[in-house]
Amino acid sequence: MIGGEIKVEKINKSFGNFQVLKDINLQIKKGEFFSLLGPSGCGKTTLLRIIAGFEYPSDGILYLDGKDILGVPSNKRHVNTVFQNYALFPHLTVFENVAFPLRLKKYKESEIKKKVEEYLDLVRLNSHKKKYPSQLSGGQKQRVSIARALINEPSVLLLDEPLSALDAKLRQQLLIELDTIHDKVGITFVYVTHDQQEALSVSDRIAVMKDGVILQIGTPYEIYESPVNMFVADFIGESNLTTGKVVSVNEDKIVKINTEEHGELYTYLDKPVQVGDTLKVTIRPEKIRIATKKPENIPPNTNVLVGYVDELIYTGSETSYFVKIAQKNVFRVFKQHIVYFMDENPIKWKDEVYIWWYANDGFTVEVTK
Amino acid sequence: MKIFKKKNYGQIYTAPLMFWITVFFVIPILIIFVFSFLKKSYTGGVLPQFSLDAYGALANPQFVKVVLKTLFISIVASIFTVLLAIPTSYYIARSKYKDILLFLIIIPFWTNFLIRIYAWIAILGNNGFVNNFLINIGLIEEHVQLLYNQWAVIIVIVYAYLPFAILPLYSTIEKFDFSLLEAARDLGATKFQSIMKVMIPNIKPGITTAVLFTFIPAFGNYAIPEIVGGKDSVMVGNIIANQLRVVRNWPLSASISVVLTVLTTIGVLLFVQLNKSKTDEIRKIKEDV
Amino acid sequence: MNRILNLIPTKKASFYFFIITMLFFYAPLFILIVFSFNSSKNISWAGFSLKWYKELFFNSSSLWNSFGNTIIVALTSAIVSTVIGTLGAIGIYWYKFKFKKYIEIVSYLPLILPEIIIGVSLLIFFSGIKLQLGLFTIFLAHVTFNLPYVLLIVMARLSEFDYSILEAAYDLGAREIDTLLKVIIPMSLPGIISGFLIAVTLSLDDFVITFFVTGPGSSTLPLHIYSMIRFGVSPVINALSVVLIAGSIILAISSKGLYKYMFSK
Repeated sequence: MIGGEIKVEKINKSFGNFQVLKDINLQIKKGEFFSLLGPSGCGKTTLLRIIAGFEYPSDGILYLDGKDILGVPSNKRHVNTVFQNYALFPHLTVFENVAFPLRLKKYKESEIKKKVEEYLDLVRLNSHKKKYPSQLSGGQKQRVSIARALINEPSVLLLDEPLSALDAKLRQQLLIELDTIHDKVGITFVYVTHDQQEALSVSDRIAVMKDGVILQIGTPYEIYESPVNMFVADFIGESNLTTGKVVSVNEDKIVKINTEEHGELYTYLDKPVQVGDTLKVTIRPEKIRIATKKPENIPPNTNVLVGYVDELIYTGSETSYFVKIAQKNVFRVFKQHIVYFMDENPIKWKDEVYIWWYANDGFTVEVTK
Repeated sequence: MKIFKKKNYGQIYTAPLMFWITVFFVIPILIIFVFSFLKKSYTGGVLPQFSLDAYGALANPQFVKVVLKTLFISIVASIFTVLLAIPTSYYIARSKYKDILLFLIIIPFWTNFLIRIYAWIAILGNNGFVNNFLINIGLIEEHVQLLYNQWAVIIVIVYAYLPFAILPLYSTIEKFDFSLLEAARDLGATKFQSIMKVMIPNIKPGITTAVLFTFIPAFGNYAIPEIVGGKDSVMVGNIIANQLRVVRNWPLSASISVVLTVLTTIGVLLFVQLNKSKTDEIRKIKEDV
Repeated sequence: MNRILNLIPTKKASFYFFIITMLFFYAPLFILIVFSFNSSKNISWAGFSLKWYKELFFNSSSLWNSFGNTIIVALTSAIVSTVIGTLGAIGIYWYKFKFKKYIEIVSYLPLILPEIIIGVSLLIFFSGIKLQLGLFTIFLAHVTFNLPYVLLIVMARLSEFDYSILEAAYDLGAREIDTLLKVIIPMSLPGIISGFLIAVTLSLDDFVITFFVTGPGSSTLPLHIYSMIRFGVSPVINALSVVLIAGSIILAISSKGLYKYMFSK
């Protein structure tokens, strides 16, 4: 199968007075696993439904492989959808559900059998083909729905929060399976989710949306490491924020800022700044080190702060500390339990601790002149 | 998400329904409404002249008496029905054999409506079971008139509509969390108080539905008073039929129908206001039957 | 008073009420059944006999004629109301269109209005348009009062499905007609069948509305029973009752069984 290329141009959509999508521009490449990520109500599902043909934009153009497809009804678009609630036909068996599109096209019985079995193999459900949807588990239902959507050999597969009705463990499994299926069939996947973990782990690229606007498009790495604004930084993963005025910029692209709470800190020159600008800098919790003893032999341009453990949450593989600095700002710090049991001085609640991070690990999200 | 562009298909699917309901229900009702404002023709039918005669006739004390009697019979029958239905449905809801017991409630009502009424004639009639029994044991010598009075009408109404009261009550009582009764008693309520103050308020929607399902068909009833009623139990429905078929005063028959329709509709609307989940109840009951 | 009531064990008290209800429901039917085998015309036992059954089966041709009429009207009106009601329910439940509110409200009104109003209004309407009263007018009336029930029941079934199931069908390439015939109707079949069965039952049972819209010579079973009742107690009615009770129980149980067998998956 060959993946299709989607181009969304200046698409707007309103329901009554409420504008759900504002001037959306987007290009999804052939064969890409592309995610639309955002909180509920951000317009991601509406955008997906416009691509599917279930909704019509108030204005704008939608191209599939260079052709305008807005006038093509959903049953003729070369695009298929996997629904959040599976949308399996309750009166048909697993086999017949998957065979449904082929029967509409009046395929020969032998062809239907061959093709349906091929796709049931793809989702590893051949042994369940005689069952009815009500006899399947949530994960199995969603796999049937994926096979059914793929059997028409669409050039784009749309997935509308397909895993949200499943429990955490199953979600993980199915996510890996989806990735494998994507690799096998090679078509374009457009995946809608509100779960940043899901989006980060499978996508080639992600579009982060909020209030009907796309805030950032990029690879998971770009989105996580270089968020365009505070919202993206906060929505994707955890982050600590500090604000300060630029004092100086040196030749190694290290910026010295003066913060109200912590005095002078170092950060990397991510964006052009001038002395006097106000920067908002985020630091990911896993990039901060923590110890009860003052760190020794630290490289230059390292920020060191002292505080005490206000709260700690043990989650098995790591512990997350809320360190209160100067009675005001709280820093969140993740510590992997790599050498937990060998730690001479395990950090306890209310302990005084040192936290430190390198200038390069801070990221400037906003600059105000 | 019900938003979809293909609006025209809804029109196509509902066109036959729209046609049928309009022609065979809405138009006939409108005709009655119009007829109620026309002059009666002595040969039956109406004359095309505006007249309020038919409504004036409603002020007739004889007619007012019939309305009051209809109210009396319907209210008494509804009270009996609900008083019998609450404990019965309570028992079914708390039983291990709910399905079988519900089935037992429904079975008699697969029997023809008239056969069910006839059964009561066979019991209460002059040559009926009760009279024969009493004469055989020598308690009475001549048969006693048990039929053709308002009490016979009330008994048969209760008999006919009791299941329609039991089913909605059952479905609300079944959903009631009985541990609340224990909680109430734990907090110091007596058994009687816990039922009156905790259970009854919680099953109120079921009680209102039960009252409605008995009162509405009782109030507009025609067949039961016609068959087992007598001079003391003429109801509004009988007057409508009598004016139409015997006296041939169509406008009067129409005006009484209009009044009955309006009263029933007001009753239902009030009820819907009080109890928004009514349609769900009806759905459930119809499915159970 | 309060104290006395507290002494009554609730469950036991409700059991007595349940028994009273059961006696109230079944005693009349039991008496009918017993006395259908009575050799005397009176309701006092005079010995076992099957003569009323003989009379019913071999000497009541007009009754069987009415029975035939009832079956014809019940089946035809149930089929027509099921088709119209099912399509209507689909349209109302899943689509937006002009006059939707009108049809939603008006369609349920026959359900709440007293039967006599429907009977009287149809009688006046039919005589107004000079339609000969008879089986055909009975059929028209029965479809009318069956429609809201079919509508409610099919609607209840449809409410179990999300609209996305229709979107899935379109998405997979189905045209409107494919969606209707291959998805909507098959999946709501249990609802459609129960709608049909309710319509048959209501139609078989109807007396009041039929009574108004019938014409000379076209009697149905309820009308026939009515005219027999007018002449007082007749053991033939007892025998007929037994046959009808047995018939409807067998029909109900077998249809319930068939229904379970068909839709247990």
